[in-house]
Amino acid sequence: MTTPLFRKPTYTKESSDSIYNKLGFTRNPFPSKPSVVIGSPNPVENGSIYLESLHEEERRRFEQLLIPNPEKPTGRTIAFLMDYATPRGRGIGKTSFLFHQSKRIMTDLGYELSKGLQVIFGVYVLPVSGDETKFWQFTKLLIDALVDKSVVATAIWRLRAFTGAVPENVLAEVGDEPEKTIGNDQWLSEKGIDTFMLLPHVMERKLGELGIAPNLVKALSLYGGSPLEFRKHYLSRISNVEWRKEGGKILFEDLVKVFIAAGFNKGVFLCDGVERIIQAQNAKERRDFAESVRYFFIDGQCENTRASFYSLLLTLHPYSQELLSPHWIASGLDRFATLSGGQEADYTVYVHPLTQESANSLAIAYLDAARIEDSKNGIIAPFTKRGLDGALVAANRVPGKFLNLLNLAIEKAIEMGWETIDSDQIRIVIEARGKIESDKQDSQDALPPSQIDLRK
Amino acid sequence: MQKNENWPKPSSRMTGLFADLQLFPEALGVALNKDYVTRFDLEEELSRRVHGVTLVERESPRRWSDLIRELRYFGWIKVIDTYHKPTDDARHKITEEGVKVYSLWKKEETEFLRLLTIKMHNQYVIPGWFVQRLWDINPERGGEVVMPNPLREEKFLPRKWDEKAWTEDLKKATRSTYESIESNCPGSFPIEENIWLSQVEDAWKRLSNLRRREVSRPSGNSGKEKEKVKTYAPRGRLAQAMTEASVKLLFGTQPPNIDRDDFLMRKEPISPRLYSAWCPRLEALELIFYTDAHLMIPGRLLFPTSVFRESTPPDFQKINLKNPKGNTLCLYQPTWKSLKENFFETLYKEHHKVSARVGSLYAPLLDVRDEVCRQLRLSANLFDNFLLVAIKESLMPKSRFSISVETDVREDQRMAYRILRRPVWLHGTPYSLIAMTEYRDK
Repeated sequence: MTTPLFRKPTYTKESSDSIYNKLGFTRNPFPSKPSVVIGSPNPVENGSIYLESLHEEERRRFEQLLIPNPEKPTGRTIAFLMDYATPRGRGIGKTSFLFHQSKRIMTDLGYELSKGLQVIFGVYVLPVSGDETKFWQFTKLLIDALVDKSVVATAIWRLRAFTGAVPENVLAEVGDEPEKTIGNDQWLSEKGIDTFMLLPHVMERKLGELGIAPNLVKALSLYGGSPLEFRKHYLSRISNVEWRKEGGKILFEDLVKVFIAAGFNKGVFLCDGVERIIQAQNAKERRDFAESVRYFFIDGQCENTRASFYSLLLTLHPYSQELLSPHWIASGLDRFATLSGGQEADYTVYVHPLTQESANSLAIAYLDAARIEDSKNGIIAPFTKRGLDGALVAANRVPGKFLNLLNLAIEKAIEMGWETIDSDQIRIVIEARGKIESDKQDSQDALPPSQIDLRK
Repeated sequence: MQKNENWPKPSSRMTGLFADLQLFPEALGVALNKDYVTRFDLEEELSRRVHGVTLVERESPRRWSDLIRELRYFGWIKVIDTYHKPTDDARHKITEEGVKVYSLWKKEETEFLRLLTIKMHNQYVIPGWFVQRLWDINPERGGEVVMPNPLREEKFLPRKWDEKAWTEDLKKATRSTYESIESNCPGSFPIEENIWLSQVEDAWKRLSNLRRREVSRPSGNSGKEKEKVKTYAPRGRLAQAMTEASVKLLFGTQPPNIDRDDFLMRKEPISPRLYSAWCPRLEALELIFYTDAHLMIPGRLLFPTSVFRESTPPDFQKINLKNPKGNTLCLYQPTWKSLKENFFETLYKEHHKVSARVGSLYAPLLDVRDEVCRQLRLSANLFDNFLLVAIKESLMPKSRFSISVETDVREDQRMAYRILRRPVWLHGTPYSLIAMTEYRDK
């Protein structure tokens, strides 16, 4: 092939003769970005390397607040996730914590978390800054998440099974990837099921009994099994005007009925970066937002409030808490989920900074994932204990910054040919990164006298 | 007390309240092309002005009578109709001296400013006296003086108009300002705490008992009648009370803690209103530097960039103006050659500090400027000139530093009084951000 027009990349990220082999790694074990990018193909960055024990306390708290269990059959409707220590909030692991919790719920639909009591779904939601200042836009965001994360599809797959439209022997073959089997019309046809007429018909009758909007019934029965099809034929055709008028009904009335019919009894929205909504809002929008949250989640006239179906975990920055608080109180929400005034602890999952031990295990989790030889797993080499401790303090105990610093340390080690990375090496890395960060801690002394004395 | 320790009695106290000194030569320019000018002509021709980073479409009418009067005082224009007592409304004609001054300004702007300094001093005595007073207040720190304001982090809730009591939290705010100044810039406010507290309290009470302002209804809007102001912001009033009190304490007839009358008169040399007019004027004359935005100082930091000395050393420019002791006013005007090293070093150091605070390489230039000027005792004008040269030099192949400036109007420049903060002018463009890095040796 001579023309560069059809050239394909030959570079692969983990080519075997990478420069990191010297240290016994296939790649740099640590993320170069100090934040989690959900859905990124790079396992270092997408939050899939996750140390369960790191957020043990937060996890327990999360389950206690939001997940119904035999001791406490109803969870909170609204809860918050906040940084424990304000000035070092960024990169403390909120995103990866939330993402991981939603994954945990979705693997077995909450079987383990609720001790087999409930069928739950959990969806991770991330607003775009400034795009969702109105509540209907927030509603749209939640519906988008429900569809994209295959929650709606899962409900449809479950319904297909429950209606008896798919025979038992076919159900037994569904396996671990339902989107390729029960969610795939072609697979079903191969198994002898009429996906053109019979299946949609059965589904339509079943959904029709729920008393939900006819066009939604049609869309769900025809395309509900596939997120892409459903988006193409239903979601993308709803105009903004309709979203504003009908969005609340779709999410809090119709979909709730569908989910309940599909045997779910709880849905948890894990909402990250709520400050992006709050800070872009003006006072009126904030009030509307708080009022609508109350109406649709607590005590309005809709299926969701009657069934106490959805729960909301809001990730707040301290500043948004201050912004939202007056409106929260004015709409009476503080009786259901206190946001301020000292009692918010009852409704809040606090994310704590790293300790020395958890930092070590976190580093090991990342190192292990990149080791060439599995036999070396579980040790902190090429780092030393002092090296890691130094990095932890320099990173203000924030996991994101900590990992980023270790990434730089590995790069520097390759460049300089270090075999171990001790506190001295860490110091060199920090200094090379520029004095800007370390200077920040300077305390304020008196203004220095001027250099020039005009009288001399 | 010796007689020669006194400043002469000012021949007038009717200082114009505008800060834009360019108005003088521009007004002369208008007068030059006409048989006569009135204040209405000036209003017509010169109305659109730039203040800080904002354009003012129409100045207040007061400004034009001020301008006419001051030009007459300086002898640069005179009244045509001599049978009348001169008023600001009268028709005026440019004098021979005025023509000379105008051509001087055209040719050599700084020389014009020096001439204006002398003119103003002869008329009002304030320029020289003010510089001397700054040196009297805080000789230890080169005349650094702070005019206090409430701390930036202090929070005040709006109050009903009738709640005018001097409360405990106001007192606390006044005290914490005092303490902050004491620790951050010792000696720059040498007043006893109790005196300070009681003076602010007095000023507060006076301001609280002023007649309530009326808000006129918006023009073209048939609606409600004039409305009375219902609430007020305690921060603003407290700040005003602090300024009133400190002008009285620091710029009274006697320097604080010195038993010496500066004038042979009882009357206060400057009122708070005149004080706020003189600061920008003296700054433009390069006698002093001041900033309201120094992060470590709650209030206005002032310091002189000039000094009274017996002889004029190199790097100083002599102004023909003497204090009662017979010393001459010298402006600190270092040459680029003598200051170069120091300027680069200080600029780099301060840029680094500010950029560490804001967390980005591009740092607010005005904050850097304020601190560099304080360290090196430069006037804002000189800073602009030197920065321009520094940027040019940084482009040379062997330069140690790389400097870049940007013009974006920062968010904090768009708010309240900060739009009036003096920008850094380079080639007629106001700049607001600076980035500076050092080339590291391999």
